[in-house]
Amino acid sequence: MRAGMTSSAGRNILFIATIAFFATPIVWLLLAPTKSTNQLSYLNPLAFGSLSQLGTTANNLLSYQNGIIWAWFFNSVWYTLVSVSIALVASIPAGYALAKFRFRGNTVILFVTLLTMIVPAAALILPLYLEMSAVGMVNTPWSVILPGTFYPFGVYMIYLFAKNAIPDSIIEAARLDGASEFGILMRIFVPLARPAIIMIAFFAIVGSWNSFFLPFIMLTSANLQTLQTGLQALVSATGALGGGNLSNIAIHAPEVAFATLLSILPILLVFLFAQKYLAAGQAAGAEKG
Amino acid sequence: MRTSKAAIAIAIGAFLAVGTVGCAASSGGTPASDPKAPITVWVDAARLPQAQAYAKAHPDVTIKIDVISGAQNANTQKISLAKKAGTPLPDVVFLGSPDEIANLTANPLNFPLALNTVVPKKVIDSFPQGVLARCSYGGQVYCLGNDVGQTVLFYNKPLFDQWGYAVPKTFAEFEQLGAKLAAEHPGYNLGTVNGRYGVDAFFESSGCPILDTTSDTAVKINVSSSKCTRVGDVIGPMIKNGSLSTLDLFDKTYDQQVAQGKVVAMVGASWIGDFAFKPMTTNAGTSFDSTGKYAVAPMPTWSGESTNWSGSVGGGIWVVSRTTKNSKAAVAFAQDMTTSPTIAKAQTTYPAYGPSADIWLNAKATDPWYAADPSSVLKAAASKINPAEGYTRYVTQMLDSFNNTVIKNGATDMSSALTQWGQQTADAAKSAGYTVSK
Amino acid sequence: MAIDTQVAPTVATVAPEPRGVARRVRRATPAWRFLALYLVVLTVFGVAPALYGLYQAFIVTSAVGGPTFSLVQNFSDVIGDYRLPTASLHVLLYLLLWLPLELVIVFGLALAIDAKRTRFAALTRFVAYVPGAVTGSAAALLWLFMFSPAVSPIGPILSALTGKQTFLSDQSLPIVLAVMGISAGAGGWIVVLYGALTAIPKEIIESAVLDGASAWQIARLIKLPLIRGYIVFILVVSLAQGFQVFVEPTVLATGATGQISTTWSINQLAYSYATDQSNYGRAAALSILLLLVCVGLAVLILKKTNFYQVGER
Repeated sequence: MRAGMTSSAGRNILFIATIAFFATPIVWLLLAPTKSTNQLSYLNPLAFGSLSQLGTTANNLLSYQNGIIWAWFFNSVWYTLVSVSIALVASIPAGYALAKFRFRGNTVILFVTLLTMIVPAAALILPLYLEMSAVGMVNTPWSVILPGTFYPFGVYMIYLFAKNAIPDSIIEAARLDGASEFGILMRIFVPLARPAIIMIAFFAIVGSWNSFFLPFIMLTSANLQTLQTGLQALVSATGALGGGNLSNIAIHAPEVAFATLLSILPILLVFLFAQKYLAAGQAAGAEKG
Repeated sequence: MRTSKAAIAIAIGAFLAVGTVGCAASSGGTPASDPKAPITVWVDAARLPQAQAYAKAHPDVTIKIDVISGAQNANTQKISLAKKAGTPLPDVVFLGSPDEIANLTANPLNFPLALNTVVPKKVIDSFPQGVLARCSYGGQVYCLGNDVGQTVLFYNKPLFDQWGYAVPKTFAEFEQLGAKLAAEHPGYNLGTVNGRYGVDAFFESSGCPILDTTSDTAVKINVSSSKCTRVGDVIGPMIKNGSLSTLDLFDKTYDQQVAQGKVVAMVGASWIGDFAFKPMTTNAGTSFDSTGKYAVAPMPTWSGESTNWSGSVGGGIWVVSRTTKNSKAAVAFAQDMTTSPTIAKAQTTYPAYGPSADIWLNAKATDPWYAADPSSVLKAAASKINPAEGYTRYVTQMLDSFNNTVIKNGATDMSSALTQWGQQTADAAKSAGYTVSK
Repeated sequence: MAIDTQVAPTVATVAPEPRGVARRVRRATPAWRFLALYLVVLTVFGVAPALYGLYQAFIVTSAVGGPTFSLVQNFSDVIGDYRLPTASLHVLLYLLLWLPLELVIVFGLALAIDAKRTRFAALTRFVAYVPGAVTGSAAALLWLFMFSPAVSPIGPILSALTGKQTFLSDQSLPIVLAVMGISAGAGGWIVVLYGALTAIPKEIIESAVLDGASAWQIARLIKLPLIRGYIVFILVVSLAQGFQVFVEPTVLATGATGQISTTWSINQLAYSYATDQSNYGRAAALSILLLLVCVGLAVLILKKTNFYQVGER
């Protein structure tokens, strides 16, 4: 009993330390838009500025170019949704098949997937651009969406999950019951793998939402930009980071912080939603039932 | 192997394209001066309103405006990719990091149009020589200056008066002032020498051959020249006694020193008053209000020179593509962006074009932030930018190396720090495809 | 996604042919149907660009004249680059600091969160993830303020550590980058590991508790061996990430100008070739060298840990 209490106290101390480590920067970020640029420097770093300053900050950002930031936001949303949907449709059956079927080429596919995943991106800039350009898609949303559908991480996670947590006996039993292979995938594997699928969907959404380099090289039109590239262009022109703002644009550090909150909010909402499902299915239980 | 895979890739891509996008960008074979051809201009976010205003005022030309990141080499990268892919290039580009032009003029891009052939000589001659010299190769001028960051000496006039300091006329006096300041008022400083602020304000004004381009593929680097060592002799002791800071001008820690009024003087670009000192010190809450405190004095003179040369920190440029299909409209656009009186009035920093600068200075002359009218000093400095330096493809590496050698070790052993800096910069220049000579 | 270096777990690992194949299903046709779409995107956006990248490494961009073909020129150019030795040393130091710390934190927290699934544990997992969602210019802003003692919430700690005006220096950089890397990357892995831990059948844990095993014993003797596949996976991927460290030093160079070289790491140098010099040949050559190191280490780890046997049930 006493041992249990100490370990639980130890756990709580660990959690408090963890939260302090990871949350300090975030608390600062949450408070930053309530301060002016100068207040960021001379107020206590974790002090609250004022609501009126927050209003000014929000207005400076949201009114820039008649609210073009909402266009960027909307672009990010739909590029992400389309890209992630295709990525999942491609990855889930693939990961399952690689784990649960034996066929020639299985190892080759896994190994090639690995190699393409760890190729440093600097070598891929030109080839991807040339491909998209060859089919006339540069500076269209598809130049960002299509390359984003390649999601090897998702394939590997599904593969590992299927191999580790789904016994072959479940699948064999379904086959003996006369289920089709597609039916087994959809009605047996997918429900069992829900935590893994939710997880890779979440990481895919984050990856696509935060994707910078692909839209950066592919898109030039202002109205096609994503939140990430649009903000970067804005920030780099106003020297809001590590330089002077030599322009008339009212974008400074607080506005950047506000933009950051705007861009991480959807991710956090998705995370909170996904969190419920991250620890769910128990393959063993399903086998019994 | 490669070709078959690539063929598959393209075939599949084409298949996907059918259902998704109707048609690819068409490429017509129109001549270079087709007055009906639309032009595409690439600007940064700050230049967007003036470009939009121009497009509105010129409905006869179709102008497509794209906003490109002002990050170093963002334009180069996009142009380079488009060139490789054979897709249309922009007609006019604004470069907020003007060194990018060294990439654009070189292989494999060969992008800019020589402007001295299409812009009237009178207009070209109204830019300070030091500005256009930087983007000129083989007698051809490849850019029009947007603004210029000529360096001058900012000083806190009331403090100078109070402490009985004389404004230094030479860099020897500047160094003596530093020694005096360090002894009498430790914690105060005479500016910063980090990165481009140090290189441009000190080494460039001295004419130290470190970015001395003789063509777009040849450069002179010689840090053992007296034009470099005399700079080391001044800044070395000053870094050591703390009268020169080694922090970046916009480092948060240095900001606080500015905000506390610890910066007594600074050799800096024409814009540091309006865009560094002013915003850091005039809002409520700071202990030091700089309004009416800082005045500008002419650059100190380097020993052995008869002219008090300036350096230049920053300053954007406009470039026109040699592949433009409507060169008339493209050149007219670039020219208007640099010479329009309306734009000059709205310009935030010192305009490069002479007549525009005069308009701009009229407003600046009565700015109550300055302790005295800065206009004549700024104007004189713009015409004295040392033409020894050019735009290069290795400037980032040169600055990295500068901070790693001169800034880091200059206080203890300036001469070997300089040697190292020169060596690393020469390596960087060679790696960027330059022939290096002394 | 393949081209992004922003989010922690976007690279994965080798999972070669298992040895015990007796119980695996032996039907091939449905497998190809399930794989068809993935094989298309793998070919178009994975293999084809990578092969073209390989080909680029042999195309030399010269200062004068057109491109030429050479088997060795780009490779010898990048190996001889004066920045490569320093960048390699930086990356090694970073790896030595960051990798053990990251692994200890990730595994420690994931096990602690899984040990008793309380609301507080769930909150911890959530908070640990949040910094990973901050990327790009936002991250630059954040860390610029975090590591400037004058304006940082942890300013007193930073000042106490160095006693100087600025915290960043050659000595502190690997530490700073390691802190950034953990802050941005650990949360994602904790989510992955937690997912793996919850997939362990309850019965196994319950019977161990009945046998009188302590929480620590259960973690060490039962849970960790059962998720060994994930452990190896995380190790291999983290190593590759560490060698290719790019985001953190780039972010810091943006935020804290003048205090960190723009080619601090090897991968940054590769980017510099591509972006500063439009020299895709050298970028590809250095990328290939980097890739060889990563693949070599991955294969070594997979062999030493018998990864092939993991996950057979």
